[in-house]
Amino acid sequence: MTSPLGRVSRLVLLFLLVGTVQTLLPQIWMPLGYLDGMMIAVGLVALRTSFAGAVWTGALGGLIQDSLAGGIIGLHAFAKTAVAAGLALLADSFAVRGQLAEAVIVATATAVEGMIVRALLLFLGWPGPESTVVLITRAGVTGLVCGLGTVGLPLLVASWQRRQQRGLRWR
Amino acid sequence: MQALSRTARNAALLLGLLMAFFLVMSLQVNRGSTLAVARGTVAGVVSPLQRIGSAVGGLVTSTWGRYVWLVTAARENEALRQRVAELQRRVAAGDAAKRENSRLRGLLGIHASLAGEWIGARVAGRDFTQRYETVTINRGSRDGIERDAAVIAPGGALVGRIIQVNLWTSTVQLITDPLSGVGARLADSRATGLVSGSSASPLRLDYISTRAEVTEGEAIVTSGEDGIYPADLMIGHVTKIDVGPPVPGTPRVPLMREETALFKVILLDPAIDVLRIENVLVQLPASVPAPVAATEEEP
Repeated sequence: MTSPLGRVSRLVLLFLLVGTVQTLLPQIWMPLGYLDGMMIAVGLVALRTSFAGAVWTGALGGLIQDSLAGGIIGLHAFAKTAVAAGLALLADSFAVRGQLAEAVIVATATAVEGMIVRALLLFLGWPGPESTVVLITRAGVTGLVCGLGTVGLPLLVASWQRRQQRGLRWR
Repeated sequence: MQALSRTARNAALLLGLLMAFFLVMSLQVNRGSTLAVARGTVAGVVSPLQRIGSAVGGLVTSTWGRYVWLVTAARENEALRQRVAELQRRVAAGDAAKRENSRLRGLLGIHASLAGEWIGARVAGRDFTQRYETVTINRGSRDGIERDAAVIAPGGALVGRIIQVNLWTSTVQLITDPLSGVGARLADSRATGLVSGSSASPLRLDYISTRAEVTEGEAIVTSGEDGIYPADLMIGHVTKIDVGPPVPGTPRVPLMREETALFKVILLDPAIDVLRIENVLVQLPASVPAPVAATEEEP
């Protein structure tokens, strides 16, 4: 069991790491900029925690994202808090089992978050809200990467473990 | 009863946070505050990681790039030799024009646009939300960079301005950001206007009178009248000219006669692809030698 402070510290570290990696990804390949890694992190945590935990997770992830993005502080924090609350309610009401289901949920959550951000920008009278194509692309890329990560990674680890066991037996 | 109380507590928490965020957003939009403390704290933690990541990423991409480009190097070499010959001829012509330009500038008392000190920087990160057009560079206040400093490409084309300075890194608002504004001048007709980012095109030029003579392909340079960017930095070229609404930024009136319009709307093609730029030059304040050690940004 870890203390609440320890859990928060770990979350902050996770979000800072995700944020840093994401600022570097578009430099390697521009389309990687469409990946919303922060939404993956917030979404996966929100699906596994209490309602209050999910709300604080969304707020924290969104605030760190806003601080790194260089725009309005509170924009992504608002959207991610609302989406994380929705995800917590979803996980509380329905049985969300399987990594593929989580990937689809995270992709949908990314699209919903994009729509909230777009509505807020329009409401605040800020120019340049993103197009529907960008919104769908971001949701698609995020869902795909989330799916590949959550399904592919455990498969890779299992395969590696099997190989290790076989190697031990051969010896 | 206890469950109801927990539900009420959760609802209050959610509503409270959402209202707080909305209030913070409204304050920023109304007062133009940027919550520099919050931003600076996060950037201070992240910027060393970004610098390391940028250095490693740069090493990997350059090694891979060199390997791939080696294959086409011979063909490019031949083409470049021809290009060098052509450029040598142009340089000779350019030198003559430069001498004449310098003489005329001297007569008119105009200073060179790139006067002052500039420091080289590498793009260390980009806005991953892709909702704002900003990049992070690996130079900060310890290198002498200050807010509102002009940022240009090595070739001299305008990239943007510094909007946030941290100890190790700085954030650059690109000229393609819809919230940016650059005082600009048409190179030939000398009419002045305002260049900003646009959703329809990378850049648009507003406040150019309908009486001004504008041609497609005409160069747009900085006017130097905004107090941020030096004059005569290359911004882009005119791609489309249209008649604008009575007031720039408002919807166009249906069936409006061209004669009643006050301004043109001009779309531009930027001189460089600012989203793909890797190295930039940042203008240093006249009093700060380059690079200087540990000078903190003023609060």
